Amino acid sequence: MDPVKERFLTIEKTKYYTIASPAEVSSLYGQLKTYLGSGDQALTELEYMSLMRMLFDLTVYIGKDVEAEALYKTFADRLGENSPHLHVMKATLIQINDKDAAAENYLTTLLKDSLEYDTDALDYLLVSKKLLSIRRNSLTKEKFIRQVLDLVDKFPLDAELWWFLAQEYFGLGQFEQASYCLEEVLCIHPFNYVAFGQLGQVLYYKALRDKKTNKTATLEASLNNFLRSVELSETFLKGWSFIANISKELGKKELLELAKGKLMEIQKSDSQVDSATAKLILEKL
Amino acid sequence: MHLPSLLSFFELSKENAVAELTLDPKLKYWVLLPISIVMILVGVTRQHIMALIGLKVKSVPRKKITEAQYMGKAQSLLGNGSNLSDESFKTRQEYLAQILAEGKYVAEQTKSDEPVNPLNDPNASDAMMNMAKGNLANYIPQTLIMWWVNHFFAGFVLMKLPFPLTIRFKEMLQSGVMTADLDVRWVSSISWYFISVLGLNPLYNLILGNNDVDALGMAQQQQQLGGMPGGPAPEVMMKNLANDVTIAQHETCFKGIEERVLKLYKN
Amino acid sequence: MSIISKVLLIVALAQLFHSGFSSYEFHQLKKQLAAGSSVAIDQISLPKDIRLEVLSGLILFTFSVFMSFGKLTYLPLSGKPVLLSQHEYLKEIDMNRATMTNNLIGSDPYGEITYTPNFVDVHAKRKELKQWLNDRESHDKVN
Repeated sequence: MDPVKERFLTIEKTKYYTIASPAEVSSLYGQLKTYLGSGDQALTELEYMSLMRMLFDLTVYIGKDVEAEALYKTFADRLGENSPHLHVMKATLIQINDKDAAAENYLTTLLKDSLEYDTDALDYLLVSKKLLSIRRNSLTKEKFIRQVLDLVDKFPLDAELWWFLAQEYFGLGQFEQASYCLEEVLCIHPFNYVAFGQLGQVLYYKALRDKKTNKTATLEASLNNFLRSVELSETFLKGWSFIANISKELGKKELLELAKGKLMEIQKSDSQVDSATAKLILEKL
Repeated sequence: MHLPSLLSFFELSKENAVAELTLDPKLKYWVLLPISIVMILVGVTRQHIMALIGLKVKSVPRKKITEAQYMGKAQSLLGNGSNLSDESFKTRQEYLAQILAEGKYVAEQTKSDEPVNPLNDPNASDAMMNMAKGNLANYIPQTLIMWWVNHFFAGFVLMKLPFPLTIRFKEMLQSGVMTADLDVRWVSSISWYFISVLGLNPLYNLILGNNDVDALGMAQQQQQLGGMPGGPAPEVMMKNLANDVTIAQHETCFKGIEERVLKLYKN
Repeated sequence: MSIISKVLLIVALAQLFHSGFSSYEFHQLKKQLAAGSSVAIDQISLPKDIRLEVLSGLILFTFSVFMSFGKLTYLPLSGKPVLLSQHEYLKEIDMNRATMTNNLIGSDPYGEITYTPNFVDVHAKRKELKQWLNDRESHDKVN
């Protein structure tokens, strides 16, 4: 496949653009607009639509409200207003043109009046998530987490919700709860090496806080998770760096050597960010 | 069959193979090509019509989705439980077995044991309607074309296949032509129609772009949501799952992982 | 697709086409002979050079297809747009090696979950962008 097209599709699929730096968002916006304007014949309709969806988000981030409105209208003409992503997009538009309260109002009415009785697998979930993201700043942490828990009680198979909860708990220093949530993610996505890494990290922080007696056991558990993550992905930087650290602490020579070797390999690889980070970690070891 | 008759049969078929039919070349342009083109066009049109009338995303009350998700959760624990450590698995096992057995998340309790009449259930009739639509979209054009071919081109011999075939294929390739002795390789018009019906799918995939992946995803979603009409009730399925979860054996993937990783990456 | 493979492909296709045409001509001739005279036409079979041409056409075609495969290349998701390659013609099968591509281009295949895209705070994001754009503008003015 054409690398340019593949890059855009990967960014869309992994939603990398939602965490990209401002500089990246702005350049991505320009590139994507040119690319979509050039009319690549190899794009299927589905791919085109998802890239358009990404363009909408980018336009909103970058503050071109009129353009975002126009994009929304294109979508509405094509798909009708009553579909999951359209609901979310409309709420976003209300958020930026009007007030958060209005968007909240729109979404709550939607949930109460129609989606509770008539929804597909995505609609209720997406709309509720959007609602939570709007409410996040106006509620206290505990209240907010309670609401997320309510939603996860209704949709126990949604990995993103569990991950989000894990992050919230991790931020509060409640490592037990955080690791429980990450384990749920692992039940849903069995080969998610990133989640294994995250779980290992949570356990590592827990071990740092634990008393002497428990510490080794927790460290072992953390190490196991990292080992599983690199078993699934050979050049997973986070996994190897934690393995190096923990095996140093626990005195596992063989593992430490292996991790160092792998970090060296990553340092030599072409990946720009990873190789710089690997170098830093190796210097610290 | 006796040996002499077998021999004579052989000679007969050999004679037949030699006897060449001379076909009017115009048959190619005015019969063979039109039938093929019409078949392809009808296939493409049918695909588009199906996209218009079928493929409606099924919507259900939210509680139904929650119910399905809890069943999925039990299944994912059974399938992927090896990712967890022993104690984590145990907590989940007890918790899930309990709520499934209680039926806490069952969307609606059916009142009695008697089976529900599938014709009364609006969801079920919806599913049946969809099935009927799909079938109609298949059968109406097929009947029409068959009538068309039979009416205009009955008894035509269209072409000769470039490879030999056994006598068994005679029925398939020469329906509509009343000749007992014609070589099997000659194909009649109605048979060409049948061959097109059965063999055009790869061509459609080529023309319309391959949507297999999407179709699969759709099917999965549908299944997750509705369940077939007339299947076992959700409470019963949950009870069964609760039993499965209770007796599930657990083996964690962390057992001996250090040796495994060392062995995997040592060189 | 490299030039060699393209040339090979053209040669192969030309050969296949030519041999097909030759074979057609031969059979036409044979039919006419059968109609006109009493020569034992069953004895005449397709000349050797036509068969050899088909064979060589097929072999060249296969070669050209094999040679048309290039090494897989990727663009990183962030940073400088440099074409990266793992010097492989096909993708890996083993999970632990297949995911190396993701690590190379800096993509998290489970980003749909781990970046929690549905919980993005739109206002914060817009503020950040605005700040950045302003900074860049003032920076441009100074220069």
